[in-house]
Amino acid sequence: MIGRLWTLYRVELSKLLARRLLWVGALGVILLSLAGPALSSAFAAAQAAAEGGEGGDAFQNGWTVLSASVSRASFLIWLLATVLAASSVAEEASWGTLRVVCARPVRRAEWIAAKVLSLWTLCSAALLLSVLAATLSAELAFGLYDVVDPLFPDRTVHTFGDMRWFVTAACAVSLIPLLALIALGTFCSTLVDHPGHATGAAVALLVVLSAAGGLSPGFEEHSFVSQLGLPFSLVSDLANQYTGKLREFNEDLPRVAWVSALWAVVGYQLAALRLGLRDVV
Amino acid sequence: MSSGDYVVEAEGLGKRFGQRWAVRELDLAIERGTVCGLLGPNGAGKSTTLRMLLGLVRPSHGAVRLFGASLRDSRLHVLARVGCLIEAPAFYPHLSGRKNLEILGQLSGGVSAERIQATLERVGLGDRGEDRTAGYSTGMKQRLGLAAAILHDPEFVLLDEPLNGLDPPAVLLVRRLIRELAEKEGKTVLVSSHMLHEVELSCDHVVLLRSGRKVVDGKVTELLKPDHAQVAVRVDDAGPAREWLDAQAGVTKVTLEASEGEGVALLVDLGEGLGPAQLNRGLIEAGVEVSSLTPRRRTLEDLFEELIAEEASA
Repeated sequence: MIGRLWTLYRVELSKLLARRLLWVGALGVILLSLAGPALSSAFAAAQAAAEGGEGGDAFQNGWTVLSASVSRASFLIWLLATVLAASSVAEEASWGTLRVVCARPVRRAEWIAAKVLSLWTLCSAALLLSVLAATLSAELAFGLYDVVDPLFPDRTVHTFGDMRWFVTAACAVSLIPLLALIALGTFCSTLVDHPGHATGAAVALLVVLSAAGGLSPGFEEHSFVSQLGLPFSLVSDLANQYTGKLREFNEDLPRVAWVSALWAVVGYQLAALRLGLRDVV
Repeated sequence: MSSGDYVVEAEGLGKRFGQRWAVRELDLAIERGTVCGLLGPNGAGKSTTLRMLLGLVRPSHGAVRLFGASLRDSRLHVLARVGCLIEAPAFYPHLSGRKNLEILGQLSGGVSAERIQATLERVGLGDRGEDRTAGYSTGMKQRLGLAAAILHDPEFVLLDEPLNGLDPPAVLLVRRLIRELAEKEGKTVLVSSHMLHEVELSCDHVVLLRSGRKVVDGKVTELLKPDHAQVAVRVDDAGPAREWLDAQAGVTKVTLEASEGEGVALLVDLGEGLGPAQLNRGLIEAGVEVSSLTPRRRTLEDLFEELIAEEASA
């Protein structure tokens, strides 16, 4: 099974790498991450102007800029992941290649797993690139040092090592809701044979889950949608010296991981079940 | 004949879409190494049958065995030995023909680059393999579809309307390819088509479907074996010719055919004791000028027409 899955994974990866949308998206993610300091400064200046102040954000530092840059780029990655996942099977159906693949010695559930994992690999790579690009630009623009209180510069709130750990942990945990997003997008892709309609269904599902999370705090805690951006949002809070957030960071990250992993398994199972049971006409 | 001599065995196969039966009570047995034609008008159930044989569509009734194994229980094992072109050929439009074949080869267990090139050349696309399939013409896609079907050297090849969109040279190429697959490589081929003439030329065995049911199943040579000799005669004047023909005990029926060009065409059914040579001599001796005399073969079209006439009269 591992051998078959590996073959399918390589096939799906090569198909994705031939997509122009993926490369355009990756370029957009890198540019957005590199432009992070300029965008953060512009937002801070605009906010100060709106509030009638003069200067920018006194608490702004390399780490706040890094997390804000990654959060902005992540939004583009989620968009890309949703579109590519939701069109993955529907596009095959509309091209007619679904029946070509299903008439070969391929297990449909393994094919779905390969699709999900290959897209997840590329989206994870995009997230890592985004973190690297944001780190580079934050280092060049502000420098990445210990986080100190601007009013009491001798007081170190978080050391450089702590901040590096927060970023690494946030990056690793962010990959799990990303997997859930791709798995559910792929499930939507098995529902209709039109890539546009499937993407619409995936977006609608995300909106519904998001709205449900907004209405019910209990559901919000257990919905991967509201946790997609949570890890880097917590890093930003920590870099902004909300010291009380440290406990939240330590408690929330494991929850983000297991809740999202559960959603990913459910999304994959639904997609595999749906494709396995349908006639390919 | 033992079960191992058959590549395909289906019993009581049926598929219902909603209230409509697309295929009903279909028994099918295809011998190893033969070319079998699945015939029928549009909507007869040919494509649904092929899809059930490949496991793309679940039968509502009955079961399929390929190479003696149940398709449901040994799907991966048997599909590795099957190649197919189902309906319109489908490819990843943003990839080249060669890359598409590489992908399909990997899905079938791996195929070498040499084999891919040889297969492209076999279908006449040796120099177009690097082009993106989005730019292929209908005929080129059809050829690439055939290449994909035979790429991994399958034992059983299913071709659904393989001649669609092909120009005359390509039709000849496909016809030759189908015969080669069976005669030189010992493969079993199932061709679905509504082009009766082409099936007659390339198939050993035919199964004719109509409204989802099997109406004919047999060897082409046996099905087209005439129960009597028939001769088309072109003469200068129908009157004396008919007079002489009606007087012959060996002539069972004379039909005036629609005539083009000079003279009159008569279709003569011959019984015992009268052959085309005697008929020719007799007509000439009776003073009838015979400009041509052609023994008639029974064709699948004739068979199909007879079936339609039988159904209409029933």
